[in-house]
Amino acid sequence: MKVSTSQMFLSTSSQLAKQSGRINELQAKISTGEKLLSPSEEPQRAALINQLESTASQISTYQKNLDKVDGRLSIEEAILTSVDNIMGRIRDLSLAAASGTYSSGDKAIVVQEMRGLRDELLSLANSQDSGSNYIFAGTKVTTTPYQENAAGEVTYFGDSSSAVVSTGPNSNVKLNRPGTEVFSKVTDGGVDYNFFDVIDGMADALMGTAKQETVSNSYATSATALNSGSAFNLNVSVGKTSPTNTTINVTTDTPEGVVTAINASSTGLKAKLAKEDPGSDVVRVYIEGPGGEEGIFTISSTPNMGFSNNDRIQKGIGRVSDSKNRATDALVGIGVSMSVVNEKKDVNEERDLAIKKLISSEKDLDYALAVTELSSEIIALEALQSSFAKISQMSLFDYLR
Amino acid sequence: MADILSVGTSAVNVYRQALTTVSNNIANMNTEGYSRQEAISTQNLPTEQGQSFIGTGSSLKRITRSYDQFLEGNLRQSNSELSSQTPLINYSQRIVDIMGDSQSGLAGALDKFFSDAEVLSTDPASGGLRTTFLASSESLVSRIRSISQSLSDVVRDVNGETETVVNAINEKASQLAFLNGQMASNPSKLSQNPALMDSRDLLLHELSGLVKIKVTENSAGLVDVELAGAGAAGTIVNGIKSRDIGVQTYAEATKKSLVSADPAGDSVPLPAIQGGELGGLISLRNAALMETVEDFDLFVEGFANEINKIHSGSMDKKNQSGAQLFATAPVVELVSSDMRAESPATAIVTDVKNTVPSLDVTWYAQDKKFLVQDGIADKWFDSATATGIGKIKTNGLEIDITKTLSNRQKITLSVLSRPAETIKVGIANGDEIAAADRLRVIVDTANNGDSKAAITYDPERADVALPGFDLGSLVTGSKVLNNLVTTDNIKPWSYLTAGSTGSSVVLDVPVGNTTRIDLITKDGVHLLGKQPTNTSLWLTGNSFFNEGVSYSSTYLNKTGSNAFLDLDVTFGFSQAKSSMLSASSPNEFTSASVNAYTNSTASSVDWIANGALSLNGISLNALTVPNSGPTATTSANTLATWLNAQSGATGVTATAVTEINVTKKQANFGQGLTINGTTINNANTATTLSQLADRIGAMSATTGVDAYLGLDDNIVLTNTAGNEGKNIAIGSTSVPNTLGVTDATYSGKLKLSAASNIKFQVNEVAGTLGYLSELSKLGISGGVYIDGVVPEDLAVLVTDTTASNVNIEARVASKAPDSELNPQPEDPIKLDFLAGGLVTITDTKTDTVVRKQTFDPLKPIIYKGVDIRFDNAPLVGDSFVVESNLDAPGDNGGIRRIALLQTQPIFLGSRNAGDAYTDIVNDMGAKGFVAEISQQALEVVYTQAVEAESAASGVTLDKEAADLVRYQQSFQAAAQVIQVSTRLFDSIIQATR
Repeated sequence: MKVSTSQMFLSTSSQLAKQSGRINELQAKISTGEKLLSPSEEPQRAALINQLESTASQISTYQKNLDKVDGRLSIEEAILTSVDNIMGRIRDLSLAAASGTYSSGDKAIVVQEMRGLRDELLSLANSQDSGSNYIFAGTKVTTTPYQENAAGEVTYFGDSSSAVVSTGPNSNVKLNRPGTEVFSKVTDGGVDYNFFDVIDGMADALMGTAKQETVSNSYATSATALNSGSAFNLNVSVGKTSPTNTTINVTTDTPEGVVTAINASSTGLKAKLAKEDPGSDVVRVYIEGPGGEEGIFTISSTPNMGFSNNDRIQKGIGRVSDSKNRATDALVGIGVSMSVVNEKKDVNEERDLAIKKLISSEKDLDYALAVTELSSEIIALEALQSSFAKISQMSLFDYLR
Repeated sequence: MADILSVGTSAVNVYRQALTTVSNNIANMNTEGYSRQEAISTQNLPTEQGQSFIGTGSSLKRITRSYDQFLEGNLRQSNSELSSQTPLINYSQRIVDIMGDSQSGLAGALDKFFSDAEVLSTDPASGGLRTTFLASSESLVSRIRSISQSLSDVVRDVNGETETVVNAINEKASQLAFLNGQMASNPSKLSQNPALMDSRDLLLHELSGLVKIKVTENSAGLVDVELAGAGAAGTIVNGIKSRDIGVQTYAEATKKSLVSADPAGDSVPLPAIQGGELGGLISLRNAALMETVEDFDLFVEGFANEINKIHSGSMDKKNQSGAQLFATAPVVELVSSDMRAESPATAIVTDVKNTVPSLDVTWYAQDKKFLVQDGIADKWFDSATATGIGKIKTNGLEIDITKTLSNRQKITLSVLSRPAETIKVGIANGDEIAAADRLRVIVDTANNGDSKAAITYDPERADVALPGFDLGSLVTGSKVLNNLVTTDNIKPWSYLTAGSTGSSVVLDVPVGNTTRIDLITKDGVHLLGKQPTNTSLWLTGNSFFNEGVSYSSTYLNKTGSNAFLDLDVTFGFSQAKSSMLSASSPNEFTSASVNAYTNSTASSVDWIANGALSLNGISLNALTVPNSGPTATTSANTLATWLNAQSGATGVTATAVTEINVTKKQANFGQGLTINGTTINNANTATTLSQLADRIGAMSATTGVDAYLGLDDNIVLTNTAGNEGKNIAIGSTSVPNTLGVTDATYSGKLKLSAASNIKFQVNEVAGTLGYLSELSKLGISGGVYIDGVVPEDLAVLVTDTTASNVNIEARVASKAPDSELNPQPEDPIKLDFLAGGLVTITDTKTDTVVRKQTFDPLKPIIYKGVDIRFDNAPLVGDSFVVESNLDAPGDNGGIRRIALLQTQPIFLGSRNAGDAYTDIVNDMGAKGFVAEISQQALEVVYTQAVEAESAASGVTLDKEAADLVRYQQSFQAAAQVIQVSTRLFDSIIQATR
C-alpha cells in the first residue's frame, strides 16, 4: 500500500513518543517503588489496596485497643495485688487476735493496724487513672465509687456496668471491672457484707463493740404463719448495764410481719429477711443490734422463733476469709484476662503481617521485573530510532544527481 | 514541420504544467488538508490527410485532486467516534485520581474516623480522645466537601469545554457556509478550485472531530451539514447559510446540559447529539459525571444518617441526648430567564421545613412588585426599590436581588439537597460527643437470678399498625369526621394516634341505646368500656396487639392517679372553658331538646339511677319520676330543678327553656289550636301571626304558654314566667293545627352555666360501665373526650349488645410532638418477671403497668423502640429498671456502635461505608476503562482510515521524484522534437540556399 511521506513521518514520531512515554512511566515507577503512579492507572487495584489498607488500619486500631486494655489490666492488677496483700494481712491479724492469747491491749494494737489497712483499702478502691477517672466506678467514672458516711459506713456509688472494646472483628474484651465485681460482697446467712463492713465488723468484734447479730429459725417463705395467723408479742431487752424491756406486738403473723414490727419499734434494732439460698424462698429473720457495748440485746417470743446469737469473732473471721478469697479471685480473673489479651495480640500481629504482605504484593513494584521491562523497552526504542534513521534517508531524490 | 513544431510545443507545454503540478505537490507535501494533484493530458484531435489521421500533439485536459469521497466519509466517521471517547477517559481518570487516592480520597479519612471512634471507646471519659475524634470528624467532612468541590470543578470544566466545543462547531459551520458561497458560482464539482475543496474537506474533518455529522454534497461540490441523529432540526450548514447551536449548562451536576439549535431564535432542543467531542462531553456530563455526583451525595447522606441515628440515640457527657454529628443543609440554585446576563440574585435557606423544590420569582417593573409562584399559591411582594434590588423572604428562603431586573424577568430558584457540598460537624466541643448509651438497665440487687440485660434504643423501630381510620390524620385536614358506623365488638373502627390532643368521639344515640365506646392499647390494656366476656377473642381476632401480650382491666374506666398513665379520659360529655373567655364570663352550654319520659308504671321510677352520672366529678343523685302529678313526665324544667339541687357541689347551674318557633309560611290560618289541652279561643279566625299571638297571649294564664312575634316574620311560643322549661303540648281542634306543627308534646332545652368546665361522666353501675344514651335523657350527645395528649396509639371500638348503626362525630384538634408523649424513653420503666413465664412493664412515673406479656427467653422484649435482651432467662421475682443513662461518662455504648459501623452493611447490597465509596470510584474507573478499550479499538480503525485516505490523497516523495524524472524526460524529449523540427526547417532552408 502506498504511504504518503508526511504520514510516514507522523506515524513514526507518534510511535517514538509512545515508546518514550512508556519508558518514562517505568522509570517513574522504579523511582517511587510503587506499582501504580495514580489510581486511574488501574482503579480496581487501587480500590483493592485501599480496602487492604483499611483492614490494616482496623487491625492497628485493634492492636491499640489491646495495648490500652493491657495497660488498664496492669494498673488493676497492681491495685488488686495490694488489695489481696492487705486482705491477707487482715486475715492473719484476725486469726492471731482471735486465738485467745492476745490481751485486750494487744487486740487494740491489732485493731489499730486493721483500721489503718481498711483506710488504705478504701483509698485503693477509689483509685484514679491518669485522666483522674475512677477505676472501679463502673461507667460512672467521675463519681467517687466508695463513699464513707458520718457513721463510717462505706457505700458504693458506681454502677455495675463494664465498657466493652473491640479487639477484632466480632471479638471484644471488657475494658473495666466495676467495684461490684472486684470488691464483690460476701453473703453470710443471706445477708450481704462489703469489704469494709467485714473489716469494720471484725475490728469491732475484737474490741467487743460489734453489733450483735441474732437470727431466727428458718421458715418456708416470708409469708409462712408462725402463730396460726394470730398476732403475738416479742419481748425485747436492750442494754448491758440497765436493760430496757420492750414488748413488740406482731400483728401480721409472718416472718415479714416480724421484720416490719421490729423495724417499726423504738428499740433501735434493725431486722431483715435473710434468704439462706438464693434459689429458694426459705428465710430467716435477721436482727442487728444498735452497736457499742450497750447495744447487746435479748429477744424472745411465744411461739418460740428460736433466736440465737452469731459468734461475731468466728463469723468475722469467716467473712474476712471469704473477702480475702474474693480479692484473690478478682486478681486471678485479671491474670486470666491479661493472658487472653496477650493471645489476641499475637493473633492480631499475625493478621497484621499477612495483610501487610498482601498490601506489599499489590502495591509495591517488583524491581527485577520492572528493570527487565525497562531494558526491553529501551532496546525497542533504540531499534525504532535507528530503523527510522535508515528509512528516512531512503529517498529517490538521493539518486537524482 | 509546422506540425512537428506544434506537436513538440504542445508536449512541452503539457509537461511543463505536469512538472509544475509535481512541484506543487512537493511544495505542499506538509500542508494540512492538501490533496495530491495530478496533471491529466489528452491528445489533440488529429488532422485528416487523405485517408490518414495525423496526430497533432497533446494538451492539458485538467489538473485533478486525488480524492475519494468514500474514504473521506469513512475518516470523518471514525474521527467522530474516536474523539467521543477522549472526554470520558480524561475526566474519569481525573475523578478516579481525586477520589481513589489514599491522600485526597475518602478511604483514609473514613478509616481515621472509625479508628478514632474505636480509640475513644477505650476511654470515653477522656477529653483528649474526644477532641481527637472531633478533629477526625472535622477532617472527614472537610475531605467530603473537598471531593464534592473537586467534582464541581470537573463539572465546571466539562461545562466550559462543552461551551468551547459548541463555539468551535458554530465557527466551523459558518466557515463552511462561507466556502459554499465561494464555490456557489461554479456549477460543476470537477471545475471547482481544488484549494477551496481542500479547505472544505479539512473543515469537515475538523468538524467531525467535534461532533458526528452527516454531510450531503451536491453536484457543484457544495455541502449541507446536519448533526447526526438530530434530523432536519440539527441542520447547521444549508448552502450558503449556517445555523448556530447553543448549550445550556448548569453548575448543579444533577441538572443535565441541554444542546439546542438556534438558541437565540426559535430554540429547538437537540437531545440526541452523538459522537465527536461534543457527544462525548454531553454523555460524560449527563450520564457518568451526573451519576457519580448523585452517588456520592447518596453515599454522604446515607453515611451521615446512619451516624446521626446512632449519635442522637446516645448520651453525651452533659447528660443530653446527642445532637446531629453530621449536619447537612440544602442549597439554592438560581436560573434567570435572561440566560446571557450574570445571575441577578443570591438566595439562602433560612427554614428548611418550609422550602419547596422549585420557586419562580417574576419582576413586574411598572407595579414594582414581585410575583412569587411556589406551585401552591401566587403571592405578591412589594419591592422596596424601583429597580427590584432588595430582599424577599418567602417559603423558607431569603432571596437577595443584587442587580436591576428587566420587566417580567423571571428567576427560577431550585432548592436542592446537596449533602456532600454542605456537610459539617454539628457539635462544637468534645463533651457533646454522645459516647454513652442513652439508656441503661439497672439490675435489682434483690434479684435471685444473675441474668444481665443489654438494651438498644431506636426510636424508629417498626411497631405493629392499628387497623381502621387514623383519627390523628384529622389534624392536617378538616379536624372533624362525620361517619355512620356499624358497631363491632371485636374489630376497631378507628384509632387515635399517639400525640393526638383535644380528641373527641361523640355518638348521636337515642334514649335506651346500648352503644359504648371502648379504648384499648396495642398492649391489651383496656382503658375504657366494658370488659368483654371473652377477652381472648380480642387478642386472637386482632392482629394489632403486640406479640404475647395479655388483656388487662386494671385501668378500665379508672380516673385520676388510678388511670392508665394518669390519662384523663371522659366518657360522657366535656366542655372545657374556652381560653378566649374572660375570667368573669361563664362557660355555657345549651343542650338539644330533652327527652320527655312519662312514668306510666304503678310506682315512682329512678329514671336516672343514683350515681349513674357524675357532673364535674360529683356523683349525681337519682332522678326520681313519680307516677302521677305534673312531674310524671320529665321536662327541661324538672331536669333543671334536679341539676340545680346539686349545683353547690357541681358548680353548674341549669336554666330551662321551651320554645316553639313557627314561621308565617308554616301557619295554617283558619284552623284551631289547643295548648296543654286548653283550646285557644278564636284561634281559627286569626289571619295574621300578630292576631294569633294575641289570642294565645289572652289565654296564657290558663295554658302557661305565651307567644310573641319574632323579627323574621315568625311567632315564638314559650313558657310563661314560673313555668320555664315545662313541656308544651300542641293539639288541634281538627288536624292540622293553625301553627302548622305536628300535634305533639314539645320539650325544652337545658342551658348549663359554670365558672369553669362542664364535664358529665357516665359511671360504672354495679361494676359495669353505663351507656352513653344516659346523657341523651338530658338532650346531650355523649362520647369519649381526651383533652390531653394521647400517650400511645389507642384502638377505638364502637360496641353494642347487638350490631347497630350509629352516627359518629370525631374531632382531633392538634398533634403534640414526640417530646411531649408519655412515657419518654428516659422515663424509667420497670420489668418484673412473674410466675408462669410472664413479664410486666411498668411506667414508674405514673406506676402504670403498660404491658403484661409472655416472656420468651429467645426473643427480646421490645417496648417503644427499646429492645431488651437477656443473656439468660431471669428468675421469677427478678426485676430490671430501664432508665436514662445519666452521669456515666465511662460508658462507651454509643461511640462503640459508631465504630462498629465501619464493617456493617449499611448500604444497599450489603456494603459497608468503605465498600460503598469504593464502588463509586470503581464505577467511574470502569467507565473510563471501557472508554479506553474502545479508544484503542477505534484508534486502529481511525489509523486505517487515515492511512487509506493518505494513500489516496497524500503526497509520496518517491512517487513525485519518479514523476519529476518522468515528466522531465518527456519534457526533454518534447524539446528534442522541437529541435528536430528546427533542424528539419534548417535543412530545408539550407537545401534551398
